[in-house]
Amino acid sequence: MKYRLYQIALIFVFFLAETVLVPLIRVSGNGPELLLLLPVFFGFFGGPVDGIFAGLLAGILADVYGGTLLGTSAFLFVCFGFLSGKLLENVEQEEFFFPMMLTFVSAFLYECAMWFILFVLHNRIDAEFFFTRKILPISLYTLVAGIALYFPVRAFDRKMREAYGTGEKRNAKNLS
Amino acid sequence: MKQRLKAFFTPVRIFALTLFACIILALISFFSSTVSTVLRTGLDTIIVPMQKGINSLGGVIYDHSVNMATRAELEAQVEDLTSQIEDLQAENQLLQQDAYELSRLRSLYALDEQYASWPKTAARVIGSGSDNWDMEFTIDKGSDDGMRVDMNVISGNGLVGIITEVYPNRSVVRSIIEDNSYVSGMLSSSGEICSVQGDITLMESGKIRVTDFSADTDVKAGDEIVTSNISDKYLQGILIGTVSEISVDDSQITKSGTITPAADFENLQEVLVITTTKADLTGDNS
Repeated sequence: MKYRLYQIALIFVFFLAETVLVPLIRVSGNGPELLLLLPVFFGFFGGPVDGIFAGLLAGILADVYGGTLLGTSAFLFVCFGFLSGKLLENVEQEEFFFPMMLTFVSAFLYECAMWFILFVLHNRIDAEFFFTRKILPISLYTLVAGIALYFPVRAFDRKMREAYGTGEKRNAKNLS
Repeated sequence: MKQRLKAFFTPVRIFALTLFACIILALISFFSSTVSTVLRTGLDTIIVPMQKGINSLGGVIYDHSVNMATRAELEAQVEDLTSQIEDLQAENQLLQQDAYELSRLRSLYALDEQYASWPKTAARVIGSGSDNWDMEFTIDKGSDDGMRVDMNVISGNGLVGIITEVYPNRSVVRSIIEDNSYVSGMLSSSGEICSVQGDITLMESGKIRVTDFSADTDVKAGDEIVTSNISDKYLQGILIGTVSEISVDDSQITKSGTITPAADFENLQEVLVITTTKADLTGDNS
């Protein structure tokens, strides 16, 4: 139970970073989607249910403070958390490449979904602009942020697991 | 019993249930705004103090690093500023004469509404909308400080946006460079009406779109665009920006182009909120 509190605290920290620090590091209007990193990471470290939990919380925070209808980002983040858990279930905990690739793919799919909901459905497609100036840069920036933050988050997660035990265990062979 | 309950909720089922809950949440908040308002107000009590704290910490660090500028740089700056002041003083003399004439003409026309005399409150920007797709930002004054929806927000000399949501201790401002922002504007010199809209494709070049000038309007690069008198949300006469380019549309009936906004959206930290809304003035509360 205490372990869950630390997960919640980490999500809030990332959320504060997203609203206060990310505007400072934006490159031509594009910043990393920090909140998206946590469902993917927790899905990998703790399994599908951890990913769903992190996705729900991060998604609701993203919706409440962003411009979208409450529940859209939550829906998408929960999907990414679950997929991260399921697809990476049998991957070694020391693995680096697969989680990072999944981070990139999740960011890419998330931005495509936002583009679809906000623009394509209003018949403003402009694919070239959105892919080259928005979707790809944001996905790459999120990947870079993911690489930078992966080791600290993993170290923090391991420390919390040792101290307070896990909520939902992953496959026995992958215990960190 | 507990074992069977736990075994029933496999990850896939939890996933499906959570997705279902998200859809229900989206539908509820689509049809009634109370859920999201309650949620936001609740989270605010935790989040806003933290955001303010981080901002003031950032301010302290920034001030500290500014103090490290070398003495030579500062001396060069002082010299530069002194000569600028002299130029400005000369210009000011001429402008003062114009100002006297203008106030006489104004009183002749009984125009009391100058935007320099509207009541304003200063506010600080404490966070931006948490995504890459819009330029909504949050200021640290809310309904407890007298903020109301539709109050215009300016910074320096230019229009920045309009308040769209108000919570007890913060407000959300939709900026004019946002894609779904629409402002009714007019040419400052002649009063010809146009539409000013944000556009995501122009956002990073720092420009916004101006459309719907009639094709025979005399408008060129460098002309100033202000908010028009027929806008139902924006007070009249607030400077929006200067025209950067303008050309006749394919239809041959209208002209359109781009404007460089007067406000600096890259470095928005303090803004002024005009506490009179257009509805207050027109007596229209719809």
